[in-house]
Amino acid sequence: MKNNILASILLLFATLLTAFCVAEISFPETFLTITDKDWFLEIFPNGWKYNIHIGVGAFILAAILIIPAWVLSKNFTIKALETLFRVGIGGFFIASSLFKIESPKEFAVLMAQYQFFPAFGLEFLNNIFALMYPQLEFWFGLALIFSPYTRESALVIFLMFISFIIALSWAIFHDLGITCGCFNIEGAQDKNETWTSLIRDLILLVPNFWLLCRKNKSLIRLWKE
Amino acid sequence: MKSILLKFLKELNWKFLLGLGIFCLLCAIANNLRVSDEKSVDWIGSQEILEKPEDVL
Repeated sequence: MKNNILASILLLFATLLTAFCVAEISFPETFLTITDKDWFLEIFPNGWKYNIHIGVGAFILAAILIIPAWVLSKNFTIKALETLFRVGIGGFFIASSLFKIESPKEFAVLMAQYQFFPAFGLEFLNNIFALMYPQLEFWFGLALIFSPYTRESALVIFLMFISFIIALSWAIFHDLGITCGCFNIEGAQDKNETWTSLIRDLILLVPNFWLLCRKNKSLIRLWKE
Repeated sequence: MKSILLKFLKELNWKFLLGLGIFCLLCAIANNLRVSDEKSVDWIGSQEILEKPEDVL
């Protein structure tokens, strides 16, 4: 029991650090970040440039914190990690799908900016992909959290992550100067944030791959056993 | 490696994957019909490619 409590505290810190990592990399200017805060910039005037470094550092620290939790209570840590990853990644996909479902046109416009389909003579697929993709994000995100089909849901989400990585690499290679537009279409062409989105997706691929190797179980059954 | 991948694919519940995939397609169609004209898209086709802004960092 005591070990479980200690492991919970370590995992709580790891979760906060991971949230901080994703925020620093992808969502600067939120309450979770520090590189945009005045007190930080007073001490390190060029600190805002290092949000990715700080984010990746936080992720490494979070990964290190898992080790003692694992040693203290292996079973509990595995269950907690599976829960956190499923809720975190599933929630991430559900949240990112909502505005795309609300406005398919805006997402179709953003997708067209990648100029990926025209390169293969498949531009006619752009709109149907823009309609289908958010639905896959929403329903498989939901399935990852609530259904017992962990592997199947994680596989579809894994393939979507791979497609994001290919699209973002494509944008970097062709110097398109667009962001991923994962959470907001507005301003998607204003900043060159493609690198940050790519790093975030590469980081999130790790827990997603781990979920692929898990057995199919609902979260309730996972904790009952 | 190949055998692990084959085993993994064999163990997947393809009925669930296909079922939810088809459900997503139906939802996509329903959603395009649900939203207003300015937010909906043609079923087949693409969108115009905007000019790259000059102030890209």
